[in-house]
Amino acid sequence: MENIIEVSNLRKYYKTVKAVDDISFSIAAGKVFALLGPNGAGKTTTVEILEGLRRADSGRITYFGKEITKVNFELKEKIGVQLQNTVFFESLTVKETLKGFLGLYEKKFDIDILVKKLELEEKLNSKIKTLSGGQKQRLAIAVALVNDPDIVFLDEPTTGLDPQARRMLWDFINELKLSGKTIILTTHYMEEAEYLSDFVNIVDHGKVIACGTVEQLIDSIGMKSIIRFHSNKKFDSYFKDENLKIIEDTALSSEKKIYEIQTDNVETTLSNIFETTRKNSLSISEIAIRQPNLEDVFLKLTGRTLRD
Amino acid sequence: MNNRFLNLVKFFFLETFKNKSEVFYTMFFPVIFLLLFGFIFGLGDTQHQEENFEYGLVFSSGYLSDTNQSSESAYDTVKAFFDPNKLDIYADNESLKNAVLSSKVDAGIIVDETSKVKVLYNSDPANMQKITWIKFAGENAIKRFLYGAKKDYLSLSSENIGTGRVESNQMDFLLTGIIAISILSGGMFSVINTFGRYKKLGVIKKFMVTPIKSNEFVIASSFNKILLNFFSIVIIIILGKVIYHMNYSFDWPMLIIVCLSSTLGMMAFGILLMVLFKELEVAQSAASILMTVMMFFAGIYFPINIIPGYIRWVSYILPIKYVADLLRHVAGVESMNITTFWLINIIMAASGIILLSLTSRQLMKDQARN
Repeated sequence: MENIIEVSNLRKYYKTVKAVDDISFSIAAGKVFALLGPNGAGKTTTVEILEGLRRADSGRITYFGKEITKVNFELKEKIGVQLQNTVFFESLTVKETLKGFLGLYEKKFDIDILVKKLELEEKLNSKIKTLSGGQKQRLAIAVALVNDPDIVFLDEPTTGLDPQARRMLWDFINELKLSGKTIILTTHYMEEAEYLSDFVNIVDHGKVIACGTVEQLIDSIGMKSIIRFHSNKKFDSYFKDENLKIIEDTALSSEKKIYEIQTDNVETTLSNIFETTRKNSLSISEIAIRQPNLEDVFLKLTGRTLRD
Repeated sequence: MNNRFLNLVKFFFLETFKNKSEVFYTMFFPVIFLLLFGFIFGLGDTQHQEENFEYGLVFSSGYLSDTNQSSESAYDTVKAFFDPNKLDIYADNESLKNAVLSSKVDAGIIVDETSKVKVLYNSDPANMQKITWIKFAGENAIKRFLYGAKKDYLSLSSENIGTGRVESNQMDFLLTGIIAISILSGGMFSVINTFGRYKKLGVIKKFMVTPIKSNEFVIASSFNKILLNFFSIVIIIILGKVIYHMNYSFDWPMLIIVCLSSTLGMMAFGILLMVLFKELEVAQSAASILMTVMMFFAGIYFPINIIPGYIRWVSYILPIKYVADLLRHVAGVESMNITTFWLINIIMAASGIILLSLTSRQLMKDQARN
């Protein structure tokens, strides 16, 4: 499949901070490409270089097969950008804002369709300052699409939204993907990356630490299942040989902790847990078995969670 | 001009005029100044009733021979009518005019051989607040003298031999000062506040990912400030006429040119401050300090010739002084050499355009990084 964007050895340093450190990747046309990583990993700096907002210290970028040194006006006509924390003129209405940005492009999308799809019809004549967080985020996406772009950058599109609003946006992004647009998504929500992405780059400290499809990334850690439970006493000393992860839970007392054990054999590990519990008069609760996800991939690669 | 730029101007037009606080501060803040200072200076007039003035007098030789009076006795008699004001005698009309223009005397009085009386005065901003009282006291004194000498005067006229085109007063001077301040605040402050607000909102970044140039962004957003400024000036002028019955006669095409060049100059000044002081709050503080200095030293509310000589040089390095000078010229309050007029306009506009284009790219980049 044709690569619409190719990035090689991209670097951006700020004094001693290596914001982007020798990153390379390529993005296929019509796919959703996710940059997943914790806050400060270098995701936004990377996409802002691709959007033309920042200049890279070194590296090579090609768009549509042509190497570029800067994002020129012709290219800006073909991309749509939803920035992290986009804010618009508070005293203007949704309609005025959309029309205002529409007027800046040669290629124009039908605003009525956009408004309908993003469920902003009722808010068309409302001032920006009266919109909720979710409505503002939907407007930011609508503005990013007014020029009917080939490539759409979505930087943390669902941060701060409630689950319902997030789900609504996920469905819309899926619709965009089906319409053939290439989407570059940055997120620190592993569920979002799992649900939306065709290809994921996991980024940490400015470097790509893993890349592939969601399935490939999960398979790469060689993990089958994870058993999760609460214990009233310290449990880690009994499972020294197992791949045990302790999750501090502030809601519980200092003695009570949540444990996760990664295992290839659920039955044997469960049996061991119960045996240990019985022998040592421990009490466990809320046992759950789940499949590994991108969070586990990140944990395995960095020793930290995405929220750390 | 391309459609994109026009659409951008339209977009900013909506943003500017739907932002009530910005409209209020740009358009009505100077009006409040006008009303406030008008009230203060209006009251101030009454305080000059008790002041004593100094007059110069010339009796034409024809007048003296007609009355069979020696010049000494005529002068001694007339001085008594001017008491407690001081009266100096001048040999001829020319020396009296010079004395008036150089402010050696507050007004000059010429009595010709046909008893026509002419009061010469100078509408120099330094004495225009009291000019009514100067004329009033001088005319009364000479009338009483002529009645006493049983020489009914044929006519009494007054002539402004100052440099301005029209008879001006303190409010005319003040009004043009307020317009200058309006241009300063509309240019310098609106650039700082607008860009500061845009920076805070993150709006600049959003525009930078669209296919518009950085100078298009700055010019389009600034154009509306110029427009808003012009509306503000028109309101001040209308209010000045209606409330204070001011005498100015604006040369409107010239006023538009002055507004445009001055606003550009002041905007460049604002952008320069923003580039020098990267933080919005610091730039705002610097602008406030500069504005205060300018109001005191640039002849906005009082003429610079009352500023002590050793510090007067400060006035000449402040751009707002030249804005006020230009405005007073187009209002007919003061006169200015036409070459100087165009030179100042060109310098203002050119510095504005050059600084705006040089700094806009840098400003956009700086602010996008935040």
